[in-house]
Amino acid sequence: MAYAGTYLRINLTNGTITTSPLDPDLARRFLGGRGLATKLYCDEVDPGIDPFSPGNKLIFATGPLSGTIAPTGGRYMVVTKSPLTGTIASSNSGGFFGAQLKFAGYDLIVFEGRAAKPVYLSILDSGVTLRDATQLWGKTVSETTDALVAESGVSDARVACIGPAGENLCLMGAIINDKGRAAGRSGVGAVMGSKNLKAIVVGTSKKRPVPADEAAFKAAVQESMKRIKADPVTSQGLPTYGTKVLDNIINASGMYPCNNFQMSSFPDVEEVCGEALVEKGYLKRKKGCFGCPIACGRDVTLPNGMQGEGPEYESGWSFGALCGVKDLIAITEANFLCNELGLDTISMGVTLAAAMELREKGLIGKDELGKGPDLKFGSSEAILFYTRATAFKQGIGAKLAQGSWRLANGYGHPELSMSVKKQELPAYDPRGVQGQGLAFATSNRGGCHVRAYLIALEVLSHPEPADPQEILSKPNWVKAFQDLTAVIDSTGMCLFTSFALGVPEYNALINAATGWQNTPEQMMAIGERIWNLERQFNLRAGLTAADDTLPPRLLEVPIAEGPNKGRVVRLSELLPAYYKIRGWGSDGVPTPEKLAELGL
Amino acid sequence: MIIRVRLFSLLRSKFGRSVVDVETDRPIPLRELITQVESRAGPGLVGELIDGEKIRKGTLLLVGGRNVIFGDGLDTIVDGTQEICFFPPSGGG
Repeated sequence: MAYAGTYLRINLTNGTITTSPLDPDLARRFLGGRGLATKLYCDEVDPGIDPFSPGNKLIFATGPLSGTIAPTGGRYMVVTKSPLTGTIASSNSGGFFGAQLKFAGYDLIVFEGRAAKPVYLSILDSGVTLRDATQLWGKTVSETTDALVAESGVSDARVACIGPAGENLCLMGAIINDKGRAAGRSGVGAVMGSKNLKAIVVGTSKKRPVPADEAAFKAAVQESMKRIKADPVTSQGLPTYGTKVLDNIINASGMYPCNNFQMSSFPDVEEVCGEALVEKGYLKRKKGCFGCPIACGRDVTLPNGMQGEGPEYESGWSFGALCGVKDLIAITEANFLCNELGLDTISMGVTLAAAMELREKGLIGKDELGKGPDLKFGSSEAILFYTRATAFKQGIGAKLAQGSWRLANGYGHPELSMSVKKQELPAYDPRGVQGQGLAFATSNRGGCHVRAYLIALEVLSHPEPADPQEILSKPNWVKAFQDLTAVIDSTGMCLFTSFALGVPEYNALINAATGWQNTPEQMMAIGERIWNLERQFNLRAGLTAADDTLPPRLLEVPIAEGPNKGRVVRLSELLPAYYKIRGWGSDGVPTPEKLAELGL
Repeated sequence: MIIRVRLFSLLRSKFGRSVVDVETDRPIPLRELITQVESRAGPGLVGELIDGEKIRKGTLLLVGGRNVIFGDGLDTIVDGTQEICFFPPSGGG
């Protein structure tokens, strides 16, 4: 079996560390990563829990393919209850930390309780220990990472940690591993901070997981690699330009939100796009995560000497077009700053854009900004100054640290928050792409593009073209994307492989790794089970069908210009069909029959 | 009339051009425009975009921001009033 077969449980309140065997039945039903961690979490935590209370738990989870030779098999997932959304949170990250955790012999780590003072978890050959992190509290991500690698005595040890943002309970606090890869969304870093847990360092000798059927696994890997290397997206587009290859595509398609979604195209996109990052000479080399043949990561050096990873498409957009900023250097610096301070780049940029609109409308007064630069669209100074202020909750940064919904609601205008379930939306105006609008509205973790990336279907023609304004087929597609994504997120592989791989390839990899004989339908049923489990948690946490919605601007205000002029998201037509296809009632609640079918 | 075509991503790096202007005295089908762009940008462009009679899988030919695959495809008539963008297969997010 490709599982390590063991998980760690760390009680931060009393300092006990225990191990438990992985339940093979649970693994079979929920696979690993996002699915298995969510199942464990839901079994142990009351959905009504305060995310910052010691009773909340925080789970780091690998999948059965993490640390194997499966392409991109280096990812891990962080599952908890989100302080930003109040929903289940599951944030995914690449780099090398996930594979290292698996090499150490653990499928998951469950953190519970709260340490009395800052601590970090050390996983070395000499043992698993909780250690004092008082001296690390307040340090940036790179400072923390360097210190812990040095302290471990293992030069290739891997670190996942929080920065000041997580320590200060910013609701957009991220967990950063390998200095530049983020389990970014939903405030998982803030939950880590609430537990006084600064970091995890893993630096053991490497015990590679052994697939159940090594010959079949090798064949499945070879087939997957062949497809990834043959596909023009995964073999050429992503390696050459990274995810920012999308800037011009989405802008030309009239769905590139600008100035807090007040416009849907950005006149200065050529200044900030993925092509510009290459042509201006800022990109020094491409960078891959563990076992990745794609290498979409960007290793960037700016003319001022600053170095770091990124920006990705979403990050470049949130600090760029959405804030009206056309300065690629400032945008990249803001991205670096988020990596150092431990902030989610999407939520940070979108929150700044909401603040800029609040300021533009006179709702935020100049006096609230203290000595800071004006919060106006187009200001490079503002995105840098207020990102830092947010992490340290300085001045108006204390309000920004609550995210865009709480910020805008505090001024009496929650409609100016471009969020779903209080989590900030990513870089696509759904008025131009109906299926993605439905996917945003129904995402189990709020505003998010990687719960179902319908852009692939509706804009990029993967796996086939679908007209972005057609709506009849979209509920079915959204369900299929959501279920498959839940499977991929539970394997330990990267979602980007889905540009080249399909259901048969994933199923072959999983079966060979685990020894199961699942049909493709059975594999997809695992994804559907995970999706419904997450839905049940959210409903029990108090969310309702009324939360499956979008900001009023996207439902009621037609796009003013460009190819999507006059369009809004037709959610009222899409949502009932989606509920029906899901086997849910018109109230968005899974029916007893559906739950029984899924064994929930 | 001048029909301006914008090239992106790998098309830009392969052909060394981000913009190609085609002069014509009449509206023309997209298929013909692509051939004329190739004559200015360099050989191989048609093959990058078209496979036989079809637009290559994943290739995006946008006329006025709309993917022509949902309209008249290579028979789409262009006249210089629309923004025309060519993208090779792309992904991200």
